[in-house]
Amino acid sequence: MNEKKNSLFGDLLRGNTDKILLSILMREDSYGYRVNKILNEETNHLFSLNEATLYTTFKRLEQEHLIKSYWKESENSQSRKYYSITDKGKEELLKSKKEWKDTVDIINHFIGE
Amino acid sequence: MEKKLNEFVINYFDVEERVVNEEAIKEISSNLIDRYHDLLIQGKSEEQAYIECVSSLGDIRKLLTQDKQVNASNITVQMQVLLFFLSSISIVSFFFSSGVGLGFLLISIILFSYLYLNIYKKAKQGFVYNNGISFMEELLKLTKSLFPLMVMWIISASLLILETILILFSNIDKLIIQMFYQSTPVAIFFLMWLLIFVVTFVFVFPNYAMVIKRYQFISKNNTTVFLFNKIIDKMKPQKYKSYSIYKKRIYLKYVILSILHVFVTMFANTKEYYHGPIVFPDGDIQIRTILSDTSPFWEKLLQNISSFWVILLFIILVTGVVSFLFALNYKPLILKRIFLMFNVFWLIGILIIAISFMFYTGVIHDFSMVIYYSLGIVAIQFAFLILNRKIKELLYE
Repeated sequence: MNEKKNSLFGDLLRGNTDKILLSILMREDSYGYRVNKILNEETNHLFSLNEATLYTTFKRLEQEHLIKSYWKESENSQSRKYYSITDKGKEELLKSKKEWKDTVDIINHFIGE
Repeated sequence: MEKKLNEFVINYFDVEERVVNEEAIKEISSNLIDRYHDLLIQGKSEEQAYIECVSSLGDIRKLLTQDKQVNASNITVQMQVLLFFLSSISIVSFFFSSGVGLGFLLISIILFSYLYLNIYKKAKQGFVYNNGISFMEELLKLTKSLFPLMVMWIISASLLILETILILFSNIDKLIIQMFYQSTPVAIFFLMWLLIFVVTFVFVFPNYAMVIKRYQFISKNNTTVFLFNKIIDKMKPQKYKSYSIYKKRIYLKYVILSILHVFVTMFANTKEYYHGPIVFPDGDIQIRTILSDTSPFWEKLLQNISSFWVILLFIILVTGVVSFLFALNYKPLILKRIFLMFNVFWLIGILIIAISFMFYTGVIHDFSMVIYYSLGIVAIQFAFLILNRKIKELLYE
């Protein structure tokens, strides 16, 4: 369940945490733990973020106005901080999708199949 | 167990860090509780789930600290400026109301001690600011500013003692003093002062607490990032440009305020005492000293220009200005013109409201009171705004 240390795989993923979180929020508004759970499940438990990384990434994205947050109470009256992607965030995601595609093309050209 | 998790997150932070990170703590513990419930569903025991949750925390504190690395060195300067303000207001207030003067005096002494003790504690532990300045240097600066402050405090305290002696032992009738304080407009005026005082205190004090907590928080950062910030600061000369504009405005404001103060004192000193026989309704004649207001206003005003008190006040204000300018010149500040505009409009707005209220309630019968009152508000709000803007800059930028 931990972030894999000393591996290119982990580093590459960590370097793209922003994009991954934005794309998860693109689906629907969500809160910290849920985002992390989606991340964990959809990578077959290969990758998840610890609380500190998750929190600071969200905080940074919010400061950059890519996402915004609001507090909402669940049925069992537990209040959660929800995040939703802003228009600026959506633009940023589109941009980074293109960049990512270009990068993958280059890497594939040299080290790919 | 949920409570235990919440407590774990809270205890993860030092007491002084908790206020600054209140929302983070709430969010993180809510995430952990979710994770905990999920782990229980997966069949983990309560104990196992708790341990797993706690270990998933990571180094939150380190990350949060990095997250909030900002230039904090000017807070001491802001506090010093505020202290100079409060102390000079204290002296000025004594000429008018010893209660208010005493309040300001006590607040400035308490604030200074609080600030000094906090910095002393950090200096002893060898902490360094994010711009590379050590707390030891900061402590030295603060110690230097203690001297002019002490002079002001001593003046305030002597005025208090003088006033007490006058009331207790002079031949000014205690009854007349009592009557003066009991008259309705004066009572309303004092109530308003008290209100302004309480409101300002309520607004300002939590901010002070924040600043002081923030202080301790920032001081835990590591030196590498401090140096990095220092380089970044050097690369942005436009900051210094806006600072010089700001400084000019402050100079202007302070000079205007000082001139106003001197005029106010002259107005306030137009009161005269009558010493001589008074005929009481029952026919009794006694020698008393009472407030009299008989001679022409402008005549008294001219007499007062050379008055000892005006000269003393002028000296105090000049020292106030000089020390204020010195305090400002310690380090350049990063300031925003928009906020300054807001500051000016706000001050004018408050003044208009206050003065019209005073007209309405009839306190206006003593013109000096109006100006005093207005100046009190200006000074407090001005100091408050400087501090508040700085705090906003620190906390939200």
